[in-house]
Amino acid sequence: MSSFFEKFLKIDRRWIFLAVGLAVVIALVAPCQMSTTITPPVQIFHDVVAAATPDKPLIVSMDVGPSTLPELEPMIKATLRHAFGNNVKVIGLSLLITGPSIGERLLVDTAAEMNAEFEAAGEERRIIQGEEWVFLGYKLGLTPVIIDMGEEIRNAFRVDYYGTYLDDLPMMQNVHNYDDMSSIVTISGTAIPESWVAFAGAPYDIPVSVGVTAVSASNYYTYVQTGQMAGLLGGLKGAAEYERLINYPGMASKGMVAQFWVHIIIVFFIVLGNTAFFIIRAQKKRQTDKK
Amino acid sequence: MRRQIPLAIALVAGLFGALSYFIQDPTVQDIREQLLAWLRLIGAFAIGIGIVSFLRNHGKKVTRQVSGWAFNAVAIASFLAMSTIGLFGGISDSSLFRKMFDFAQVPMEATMFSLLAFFIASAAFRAFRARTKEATLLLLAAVVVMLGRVANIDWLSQATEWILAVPNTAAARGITIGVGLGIVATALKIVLGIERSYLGGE
Amino acid sequence: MEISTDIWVWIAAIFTLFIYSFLYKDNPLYKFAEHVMVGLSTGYYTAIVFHTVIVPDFWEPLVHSISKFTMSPAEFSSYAIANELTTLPTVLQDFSPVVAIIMLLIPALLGLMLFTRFIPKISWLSRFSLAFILGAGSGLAIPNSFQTRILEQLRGTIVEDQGSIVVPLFSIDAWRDFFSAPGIGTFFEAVSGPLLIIGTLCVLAYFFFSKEHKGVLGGAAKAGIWFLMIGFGASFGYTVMARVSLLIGRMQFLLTDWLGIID
Repeated sequence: MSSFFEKFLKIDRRWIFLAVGLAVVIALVAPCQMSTTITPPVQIFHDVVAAATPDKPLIVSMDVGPSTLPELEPMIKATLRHAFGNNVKVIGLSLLITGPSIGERLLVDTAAEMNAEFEAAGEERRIIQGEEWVFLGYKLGLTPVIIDMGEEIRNAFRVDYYGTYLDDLPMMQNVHNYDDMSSIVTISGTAIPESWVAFAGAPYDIPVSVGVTAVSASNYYTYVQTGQMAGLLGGLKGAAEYERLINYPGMASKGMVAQFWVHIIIVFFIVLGNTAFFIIRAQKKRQTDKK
Repeated sequence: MRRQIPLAIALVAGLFGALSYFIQDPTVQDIREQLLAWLRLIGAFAIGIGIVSFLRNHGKKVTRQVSGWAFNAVAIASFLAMSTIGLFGGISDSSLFRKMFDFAQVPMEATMFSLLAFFIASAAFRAFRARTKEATLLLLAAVVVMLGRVANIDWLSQATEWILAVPNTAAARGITIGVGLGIVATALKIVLGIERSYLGGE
Repeated sequence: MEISTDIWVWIAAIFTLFIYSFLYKDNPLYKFAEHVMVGLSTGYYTAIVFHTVIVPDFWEPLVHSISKFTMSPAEFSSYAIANELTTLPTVLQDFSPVVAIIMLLIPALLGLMLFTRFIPKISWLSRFSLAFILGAGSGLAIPNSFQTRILEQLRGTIVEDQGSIVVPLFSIDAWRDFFSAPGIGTFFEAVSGPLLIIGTLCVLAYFFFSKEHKGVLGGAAKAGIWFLMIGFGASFGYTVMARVSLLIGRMQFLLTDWLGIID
């Protein structure tokens, strides 16, 4: 009997891989939806972005890389849609070297997507680069860049991503530093949000709303409690909640069913592994007791 | 001189960096600006160090023809292709550089990290055991968070939020304060020249 | 609902499958993709740093300064401001092109000195640059780290700020709610604040290594471990979520963009 459980614990791990892979594929193909409960940190994030006014642009720092994109892309997209939907202008930038190419694509795509929706709805409004959004691109240096922007944004970014002087961009005319901006949204899988909190949030008293991968989410709760972070989106679940709050069923909402089933499988594996482990231990104890 | 001058540089740059935070004089802030601009530019060169190391590392293996050197040659060829296309063809959204980034680099890096989903599932089965009281606590918290984040059950969702907002926050806060003290202490040691390991041997 | 005809999507899909082949076992296709990835990302860094830092912050201002070499300090200063050459010194009221060139060459020289690491005989020169980077970086970090990681965190443990989720310390309202409607929910609400403080102190006690963990300190440290374990557990649960999300993202790509099986 004992050999069965011992063998069971040593099954080829590729069977586990297969189970996980199949669960994801089936959950994605099967057409079902899951509703999601809204948690306080996401609600705060939403409310801070919603409080931004059209006269003061929102900074969206897209400090992302390929390895975190599936979690963070839906957050960026939802933030941009939320802001544009409320006529709030967006200053996009990236402080992570892999970010600028991704950030630019997301801004261009989201604006195009919304413009197509406006056109379909017969609305006049269009989201135009330079008027509703600018993309500053990437600047190396992290801390120096954040501090620079507190004094004068032009000290850090002389020109935007496309090489246009900031003064030549209509929406940047009267924007110089954090005083002229509503709040900061920083979305990243790195520790960059902590730098935004330390070098912009604390000294300049501007709200910093944060979106992170699930890996760092639990560590950032401590900053949400103190109010140093004005809301937190944690991983795909945080993104799905935010999508629900703005009524936009994006990639995160679609992925939550698969997420649910894989979590169930992993918990099942944990329970199975522990059951086998305790049975083996009990059996071994009985054997030594007999001797 | 090889040691004294670097120590003096660190002392002056460090004291200025720290004190300029508190002095709102325009001239001081202008010098601080200049300091930040310099740091940014030197940082760009530091990335160059990484590139040189990459080429040395892979180049050595190719020239010595160690086993699997063909893969090192692939790495160098990919580097040359990407950097040449980016340097001369531009980085705009319609460029070939961007296509290579969006459809080769991004999918590969994302896939590489997604492999961990499989390994974490296998590890959960093989290694995640409630051997001790502490391990049991860890395991329970993990299971509650895993289920509470995806299942649409009110009380479970609230329990998860409570774990994250109270005991987890206490733990994260203890670590954050501890790390903060560590950063300040190490930074002070570097500025004051007590910590000199970056100077290397001799 | 059709399979993609875009060559780029096919390239992405093939590389994705190459990497997933590792799950079966290590093989040359995986190794190939891995090395292509390393090469591409190094190449990407090179091009991005060149276009976004070296050209606008160093090369262009340098060219401007050299080409306007004959300008007087007043003329050149207003020219630099008009052209937003912000990496040039604003410290001096009027500065000549020579000063500008020197101000650009100092960091470039410090940057180049880093490369002496590769030449053993003069590798000590790289210490000058390192000393500057570490010294200035440390100096800038001291006040901010103290403020963000220590003062604000301690403050948040005791004082209630706007936007706080957990009311710290002792909330009379929470206890009144508990006594007027005793229940699990109101109980946890009421003990949250005190528990947060006790937990933080116990975790700090655990990290306090200057005294042996015995007596009160030992007990507190022990309780600190429990809080840490819950924290690590929550973190692990979230990490699982993150990795699974990545897998979902890749599968969404394969099933939607490539195969066109789902919308």
